[in-house]
Amino acid sequence: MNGVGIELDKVDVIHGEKLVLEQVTLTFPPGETTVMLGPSGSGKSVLLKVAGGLILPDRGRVYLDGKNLHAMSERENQSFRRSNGFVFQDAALWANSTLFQNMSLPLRFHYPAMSEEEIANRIKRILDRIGFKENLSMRPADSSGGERKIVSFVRALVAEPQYIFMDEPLGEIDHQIGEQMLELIREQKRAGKTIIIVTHDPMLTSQLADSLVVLQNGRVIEHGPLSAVVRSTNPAVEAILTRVLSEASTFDGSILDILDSGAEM
Amino acid sequence: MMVARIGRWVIQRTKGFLYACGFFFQVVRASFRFARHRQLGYRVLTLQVLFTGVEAVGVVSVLALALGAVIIIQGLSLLPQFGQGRLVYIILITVITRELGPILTAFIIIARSGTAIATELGNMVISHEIEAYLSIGVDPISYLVVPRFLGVTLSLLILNIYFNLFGLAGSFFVSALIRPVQFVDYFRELLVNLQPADILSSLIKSLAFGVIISTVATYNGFRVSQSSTEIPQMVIKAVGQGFVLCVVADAVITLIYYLR
Repeated sequence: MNGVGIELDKVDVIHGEKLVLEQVTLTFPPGETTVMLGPSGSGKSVLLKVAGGLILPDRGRVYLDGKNLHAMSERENQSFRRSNGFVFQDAALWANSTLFQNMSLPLRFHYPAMSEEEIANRIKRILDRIGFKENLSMRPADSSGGERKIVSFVRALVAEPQYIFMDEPLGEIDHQIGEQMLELIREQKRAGKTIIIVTHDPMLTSQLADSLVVLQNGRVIEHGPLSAVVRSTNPAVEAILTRVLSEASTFDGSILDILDSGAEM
Repeated sequence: MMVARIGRWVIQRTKGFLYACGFFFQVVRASFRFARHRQLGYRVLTLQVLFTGVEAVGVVSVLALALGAVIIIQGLSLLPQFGQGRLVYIILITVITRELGPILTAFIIIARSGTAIATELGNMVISHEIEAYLSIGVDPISYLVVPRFLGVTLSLLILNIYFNLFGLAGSFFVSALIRPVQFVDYFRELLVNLQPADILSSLIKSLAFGVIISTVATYNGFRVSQSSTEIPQMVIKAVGQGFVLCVVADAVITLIYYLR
């Protein structure tokens, strides 16, 4: 892949009086999977939205392949949007649309010439892989949290994006479907997509992450290849890795051992 | 200390005003492009016209009939005592066509659609639906605001025309139950007294009110940022600002009408 990917340069985000992100400088190289970790309220979701161009930073810049993301022409912006998919933490489905309409809107919007049959086939292919068989004419309000998350996941992948942003993609998902979704993410990774994930899931982290970003109070305290970050001697990093990942862990072994096994894969 | 506080207040207000002007400019620009570009917003536009226009027909009809009938009955009771019986037609046109038709229709739309639009958009902000649109490249101004802007403006224009027809013609039949007037006399006098400037003034008012109500409602809906408790606050602002701006615009257009 060409280009330098997504770069954040001295980004600050302020909500009211609170500095949510402070002087964040990061690069998400093309084709790489980055996992962001940090305690709740550390600014991970905001950082994900800043990298995806959904939140305009109060200070600093965001670049996509060297171009300022917020100063792009409409054509360049549409091209970027066509090539990205976003899984929101709370699914963020459009309440007045059916589940099918939610999943199909990216295709209808970016590919107006695409036939209804092709749209339905594309959605069905992904749903079949996941094993999701619910009635797609339901509204989001009639669905469970897990079902909404699956629809959000399909909506993000249906247009075959190059950049994929995921906020707790397997949250509220049962183990069996989670395994299928994990396999789909692995496929995206193998296909050379740029993936940025916010998660507390140690297995997801160990199996997918090329690099880790560790956040604390809106600041990046460690960033680098998975193998380097899990062996960090910084006690704050070690404490966060252990604490954050154990929140969602059901494993008996050491969290750092699990991550370390991923780093050696 | 006091000066600093006043200064901050002025700066905040100025910023807010300039931001609202920028929002309005974006909406107008996107509206001109709405018909030219392939749009997903036609469904939203249709639903908006249905909700704002069609569903408000009942309440507008009742109001127009009652108002027209009251003017006719009062006018025909009082004015002949002063030898000015024919003034009732001028009063009917002044009140229904030029003044109360547009403003009452606007008040109904503020209460029904202004509140609904601000609430709906505020909820969409809270549930991150706006961010979801942005993430796939759908511009919220083009997709969510412009159809509501056009739908409310178009509906208000049509409802005002409907209000006039019902108020002027329908009320004849209501008042006929109490104080019968000759059918031919009534409509001939109305047409003689109805000037093109009256119709133009009425249409301009309803267009201006439609623009104001839809812009204020969408703007305040988008001002919700994080919490659902902000939604009623913004709805109240949308209603208050809508009423005030419509009354001010009404006064300005009426002044222009008399100064021409």
